[in-house]
Amino acid sequence: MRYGNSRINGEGSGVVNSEPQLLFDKIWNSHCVASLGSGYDLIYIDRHMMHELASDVAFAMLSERGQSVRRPELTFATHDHVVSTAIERRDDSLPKNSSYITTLRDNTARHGIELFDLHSRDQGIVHVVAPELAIALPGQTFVCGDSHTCTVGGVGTASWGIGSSDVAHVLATQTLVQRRPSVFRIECNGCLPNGVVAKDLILALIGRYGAEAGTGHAIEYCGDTISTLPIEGRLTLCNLSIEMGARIGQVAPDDTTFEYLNGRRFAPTGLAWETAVGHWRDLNSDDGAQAVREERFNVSDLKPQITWGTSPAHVIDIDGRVPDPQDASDVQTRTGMEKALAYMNLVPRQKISDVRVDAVFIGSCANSRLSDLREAARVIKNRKVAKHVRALVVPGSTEVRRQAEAEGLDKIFLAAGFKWRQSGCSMCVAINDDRLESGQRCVSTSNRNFEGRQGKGSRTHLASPASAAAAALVGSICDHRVPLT
Amino acid sequence: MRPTASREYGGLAVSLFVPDIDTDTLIPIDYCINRERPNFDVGLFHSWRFNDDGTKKGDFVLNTERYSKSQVLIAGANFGCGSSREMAVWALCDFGIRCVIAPSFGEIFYNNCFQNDLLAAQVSDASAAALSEAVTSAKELQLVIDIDKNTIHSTATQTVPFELDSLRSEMLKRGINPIEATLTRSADISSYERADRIRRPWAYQR
Repeated sequence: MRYGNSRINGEGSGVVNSEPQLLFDKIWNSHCVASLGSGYDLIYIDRHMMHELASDVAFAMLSERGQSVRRPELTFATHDHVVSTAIERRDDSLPKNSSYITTLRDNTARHGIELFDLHSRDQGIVHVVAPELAIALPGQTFVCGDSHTCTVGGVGTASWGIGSSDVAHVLATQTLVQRRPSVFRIECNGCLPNGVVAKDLILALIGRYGAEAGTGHAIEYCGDTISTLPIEGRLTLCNLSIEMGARIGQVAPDDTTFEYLNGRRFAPTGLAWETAVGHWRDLNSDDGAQAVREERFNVSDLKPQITWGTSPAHVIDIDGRVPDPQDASDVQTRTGMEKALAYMNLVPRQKISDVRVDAVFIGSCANSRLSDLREAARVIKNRKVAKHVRALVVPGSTEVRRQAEAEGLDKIFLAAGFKWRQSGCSMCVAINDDRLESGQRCVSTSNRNFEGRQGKGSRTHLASPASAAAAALVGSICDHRVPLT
Repeated sequence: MRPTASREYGGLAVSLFVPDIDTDTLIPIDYCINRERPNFDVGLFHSWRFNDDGTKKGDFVLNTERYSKSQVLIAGANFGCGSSREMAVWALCDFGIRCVIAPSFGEIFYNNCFQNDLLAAQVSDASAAALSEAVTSAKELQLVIDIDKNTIHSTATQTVPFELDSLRSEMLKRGINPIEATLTRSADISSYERADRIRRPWAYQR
């Protein structure tokens, strides 16, 4: 499908588009400042969030060229990547990281950007606080110097991750030069079986379509499974779009979305809210609009999923067996699988259950919201973590932590032997002291099982909060749906 | 910071022909922090290049005498997937790599390459396999990369095309700074904002 200039700025400007459009194209077209040729557009960015790790270089790039921040009120910042998760944390809790915290504080103050500082009630992982505070809204373009920015597509945003140079570009111009992605539409139908959640679904989709199926695409998740999924589940689903190769993943906004956003700190209010909702109701794919790729996936028989290797596409059913590289269709895939098995210290065709684990991490922008913590606490209640397992719960934001404590979830985790921490990226990115020793094996609710991701030599198995919780109790990988022993 | 465009992207080639090499593998997070250009090369493929005690792993291809000064890297599909860390590109550049050839790339990494004058050359699966094979079997194969014709050739391989759109190509050839290029369109951005503020007033309120 080609888009002429007549479509640019078309949305809402009185131009009637008779041709059916996809959700993504509606958002993209309405944000196109100029067409640059070769498939590139200059795209206006509605909201930008920064964290301490990708921002210092971006600010340095600006000051080196004497450039200023064009629209500081459209950028927000928080500390998440390098911070300590200790209860009594300070700027210098981790001396090697402290300059990132103070530099972001200085830079945001200098440029008039709102910062959710270390002790702010709004502090948290960027992708958790963005929807929680309604900084991310339906139909917006939203970017951040972090690949998991696709998460907030769960509220109908077109959001994607960028590098530091592009962070500087957004600060200076409030735009990005972007190639228009094509749309990959995945329709999910059926009821998720008991004990099977959004995390299992997205892992299964990555396993089915591969780790680069989404490259060059914006993924739209649709179908009755998705429309009945609560917002937190949609955020988890969209979070791992980048693990399928797609920078953007999104779900069309609906009443569930509006109900979730209404009344949050940065949501429009009064008449502005009514006008906005009226506009947002048109943000869905029109009947007859065709995506470049369309797939259907029935979830009715889905089981809990867990990864065995070092790519998120290395995923199997919780009661399944590790695949054999000899069955791979090509040399490249076989080499990759052999390398992964060696790194993970697993053998072909072995059962994944009963593999002993050293650690369990419940947290990250994939699964650290209140519903995730409830799901884990339900499994853990009145039970104890296995003696050899180190278990950690890191809420996604200070607000999630507060809400969880208000309903007593912290007490359930602590009584079981979990550590209960302050919010941050923690053991998902392992820049602070939450990390594994070389050779240790962890069931993690995060989104990346790459070599060394949770510390040099660490071995990561990605799974849902309930699966991670069950592994902590049993001390090995297990199916949380059967009685735990 | 962006180096001056040199237009020379070829040179001694090395192959790491496995799929899905992610940016955490390209540079582990510990080597992303408290470092400045051009010193990110220490972290490049750190866990593949170095033992736990800091000594080099002699059998890793980039540690061998023959390939320690490589300028072109041939890799498997989905190269640079994962994290958006631009340090992955800086690590390759600081090591001396001028071009990465692969059947496909992680998209954020691909974008980051062109911000830093690193050529990401996308070739067919068959071309990548053939180049990898030739580089592995020949001694010190030099690849010549032509960004006017979008081709790769050498004394031991057939000429193969790579994909590079004209916007990226111009960025490399002319050493364009993207921010300065966009700032020339400030009037367009302002006029977009004025019109859009009427259409979507809530998007500008907070």
